[in-house]
Amino acid sequence: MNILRNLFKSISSAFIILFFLLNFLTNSSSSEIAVKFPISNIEVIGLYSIKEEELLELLGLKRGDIIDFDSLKIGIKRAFLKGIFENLIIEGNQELSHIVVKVEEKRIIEKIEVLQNDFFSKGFILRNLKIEKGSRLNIKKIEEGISLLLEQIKKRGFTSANITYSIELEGRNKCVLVLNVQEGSPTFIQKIVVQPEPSETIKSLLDVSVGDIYDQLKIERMEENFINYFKKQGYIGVFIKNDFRDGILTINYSIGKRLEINIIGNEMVDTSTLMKIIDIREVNDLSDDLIDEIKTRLLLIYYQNGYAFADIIPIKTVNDDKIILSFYIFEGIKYTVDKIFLTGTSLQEDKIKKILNLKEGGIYNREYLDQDRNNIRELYHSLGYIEAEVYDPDVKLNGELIEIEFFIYEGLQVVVNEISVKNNQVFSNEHLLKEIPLKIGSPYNEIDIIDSRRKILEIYQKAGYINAKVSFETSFNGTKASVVFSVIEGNIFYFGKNIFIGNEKTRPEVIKRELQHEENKPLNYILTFKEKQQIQRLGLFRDVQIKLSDYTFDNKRDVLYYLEEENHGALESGFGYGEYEKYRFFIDLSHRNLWGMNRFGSIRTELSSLERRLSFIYTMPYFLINELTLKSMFLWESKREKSLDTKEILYRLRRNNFSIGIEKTFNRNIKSEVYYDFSVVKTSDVKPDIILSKEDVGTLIISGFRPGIIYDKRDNPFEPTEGFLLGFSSKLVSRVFFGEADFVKINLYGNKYFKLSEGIIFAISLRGGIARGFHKTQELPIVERFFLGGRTTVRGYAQDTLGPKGTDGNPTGGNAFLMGNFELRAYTKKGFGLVGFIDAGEVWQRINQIKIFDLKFTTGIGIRYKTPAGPLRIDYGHKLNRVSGESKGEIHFSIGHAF
Amino acid sequence: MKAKERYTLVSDMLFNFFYFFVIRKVRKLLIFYLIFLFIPTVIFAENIVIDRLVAYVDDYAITLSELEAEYERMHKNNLLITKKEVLQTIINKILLIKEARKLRLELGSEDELINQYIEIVIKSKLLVKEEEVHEFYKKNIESFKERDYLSVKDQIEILLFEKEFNELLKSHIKELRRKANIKVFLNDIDTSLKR
Repeated sequence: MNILRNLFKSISSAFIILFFLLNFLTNSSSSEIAVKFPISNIEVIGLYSIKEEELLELLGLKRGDIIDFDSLKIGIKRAFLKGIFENLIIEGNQELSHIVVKVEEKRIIEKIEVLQNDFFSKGFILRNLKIEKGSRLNIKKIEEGISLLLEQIKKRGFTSANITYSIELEGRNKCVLVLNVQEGSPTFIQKIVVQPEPSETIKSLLDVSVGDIYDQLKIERMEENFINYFKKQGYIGVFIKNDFRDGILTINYSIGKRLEINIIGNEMVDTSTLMKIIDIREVNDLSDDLIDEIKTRLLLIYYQNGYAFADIIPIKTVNDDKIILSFYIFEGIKYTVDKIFLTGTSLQEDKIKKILNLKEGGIYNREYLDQDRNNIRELYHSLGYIEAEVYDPDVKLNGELIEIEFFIYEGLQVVVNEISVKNNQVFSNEHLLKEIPLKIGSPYNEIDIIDSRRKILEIYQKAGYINAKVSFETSFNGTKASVVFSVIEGNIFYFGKNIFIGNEKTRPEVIKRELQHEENKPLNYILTFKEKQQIQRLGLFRDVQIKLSDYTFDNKRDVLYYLEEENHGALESGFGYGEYEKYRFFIDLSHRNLWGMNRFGSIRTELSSLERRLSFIYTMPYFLINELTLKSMFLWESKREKSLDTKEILYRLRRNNFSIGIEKTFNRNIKSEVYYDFSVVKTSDVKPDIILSKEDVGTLIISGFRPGIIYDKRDNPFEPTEGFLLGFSSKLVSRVFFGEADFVKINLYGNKYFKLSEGIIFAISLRGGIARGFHKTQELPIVERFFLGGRTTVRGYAQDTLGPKGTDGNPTGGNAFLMGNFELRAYTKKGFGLVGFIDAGEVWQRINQIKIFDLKFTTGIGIRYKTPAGPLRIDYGHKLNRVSGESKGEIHFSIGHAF
Repeated sequence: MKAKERYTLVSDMLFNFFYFFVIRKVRKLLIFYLIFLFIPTVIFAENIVIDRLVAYVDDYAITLSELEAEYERMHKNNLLITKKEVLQTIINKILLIKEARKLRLELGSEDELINQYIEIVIKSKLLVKEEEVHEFYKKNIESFKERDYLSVKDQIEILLFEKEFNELLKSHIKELRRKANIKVFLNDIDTSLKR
């Protein structure tokens, strides 16, 4: 029993020891992961610049998935392409199903310090170094930059200069680049030797002295000036060169010979026109080839003007101090095309004559003869006359008239009677033949065949067969042609993952939502062109480039987006003068990529002699769904309304307003919006005669909704030349929305632009609005009533002075208005413009008082000057229905069109 | 204490431990399992490298798995080749492929692409002149064992062409390497892939 017990003890002990050892060994550092295992946990170490999700997406690692080593290899390559990593290590623990992703980021250069520079400024050094603050550390680029910088410094005479650098680590992923610029002593010019002995004029051009630093760039500029000076004086063969050795600067020069150009015998084309064509300002050597080229250029001018048999003889004479180049011109007669005969054609002659450059009754330009011969031939070929030929035309002179006869051999018209596609498996013949422009029974035309080939290729490429190849063969049987397209389909490819490179500030989701393609779907590369436009439209990037990855994985190609970010912050301020507000000033601080999410925020303050405004705006695109934008604004405003005639204050207003709403774009042209407005308005010092209701004085809460829709088909919203704009806006205010007033307002407007000719536009605008109080509100509060008159409504009337007036003659505003503007805009190429206009409009206190014959008309003229922010404008409007006591007209200053 | 006694003592101890907890106290089997299996697993478990970057050429990453696969392939033909040498070959190939793609050469396999590039950029520049062949023949006449010039001309031409080609390719790669941003991590790491 004891033996058995001891044996059992020994075996058990051995088993336990062995088990323990094995367990230890399998978990030690020399263990190996032999099989794929599920990932239950992923730890990321050293990542600061992007979100963990983005890195794991690039690596293709996902919790719950089985690790795939081949996919991981591609993942590392993909993540590295992002451009922010210096090193990537993936570790794993099979027992724990644990993955550790260790990354080392390329550090961001937070600051560039320049030390020991005395002569060269920091700005000069940074400009030539070409390393930007905020970029990722790249030693190769730094070394290249230093080498370029050193070259520039040495060129400026500091030949013993030396630059060293060091990197100081800052924080977790930042660094400071420290440049030690040891300029050394400059090389001075100790002696100057000029050969031959210079005249006083030449001495003044040689802007270099003994004791100067030997600055090669300065000397190059001096040499350029020297050459240009003598070229302008009409010299040819000018040269200057320098040699610098042991402190001695030797300058050798020659001013060449003066070139004199004579044009003799020209009567119909003036000398200055011909001189402009000769233009040899950049030439320093008058070779025979150049003279021939000038002769050809001059002859072309004569041919274009109908002098078909003009001739020019150039003669070059060389003296000791000058070269005389004379062009003897024999102009001949100016010819006009009298008749064009088309011999041998069965087609309609008019159809052929339409495609010719030469026209009956037009100038005869002999250069067009060959071109027109080709045009006729191509027309025939496009109609299936594949053997058609056009022979040398016969040109007959008849005094100043010319008769041209084209001799045409048509041959037989070939018709396509068979089209087929071979080697196609993915798409059927029926499908492909339906899509191509080439049809059975149509005339044989190579252009249609090439287009058809391109179409087949496009069908394949859109379906992911990006390496597909299509060729064609044609065979003829008398007048019948057979076309066979041959397809090599290749493999289908799919979209892989997206890699965004260069979006240091912009979050990937902002770019992702603009994408048109989906992962694992057939690779339709054409979609990436649309994506490029969409991303550019965000306005966040200076440059967008899209390309496919060089590597392929499971027939997938990743898509690489190379993005160059713009500056997203802006500080703008402006100062101006208006006829109503007098001096105006604004300052605006904005950022259009808040939190990297393409959200816009701004703080703006506006000050004028009548008004103080402070507004905060926050805009959020892609609010909940695509193309839906959330906009919110808080506005604080304090202003005085003033009568321009009496200079008296009509009323004072303080308004706190908060609005929030959504904008939805349905397509490129239609935009709708709904806003909720909440305003606390305090009106005081109101002139008694303009008070229409108790709401006109004191504090009033106005709360309501503001829906609207715009249909915009203008070609350019800032400077429209064609198209139209239609709009509807309304406002429903009620106590139901916690306000103190009840009313409804509706506005309708439409603008139309006609381009009469280049630079001349006729524009019409019609606007109208009605409003009505309900429940306890009889009259609209003064701040909500309609007013007309001023630079954007009816010019010729001062700001808000049209319409019903109080007992003291102050405008009260009203509940209805109608307005029309007609403008004729003419612009010169230099941005100046002249405008003539007729405006009409009137405001009525009640809707039922609207009478079309009450409309007040004005007319006037204005001057425009185009600027990037819209045209600067000055208008003078003259009243056509002036009543006694009113001014004759008004002058208006502004930026932007009236409509 | 003798070794035998030590062994008896340890085995007794382990047996008693095992007997008591496993056989007698089955319900405590889990605790035993935790102590002897799980805890050592946690204590001694060490993460191992599944894959990593071993070098990069501009924006192209070379992974350890890629190096291992290439090494395995090349090692079959050349037993003396080292991983460092294989890595340098990979880098050179990447540089040539990048240049080939810049020229928009037709895509085939990578080797075909490189050959196409070499054909266009390197070989097209090479020209062995008649006088060079002749001069080589004169200089090395003894090694040709009295064979006449015409009979060895083609052979010399091939030899000189190969020599020039190698030199030109070498200097071309050297220039490409000078312009590229290359970093190798091979020195810092244990290159065997543990998976």
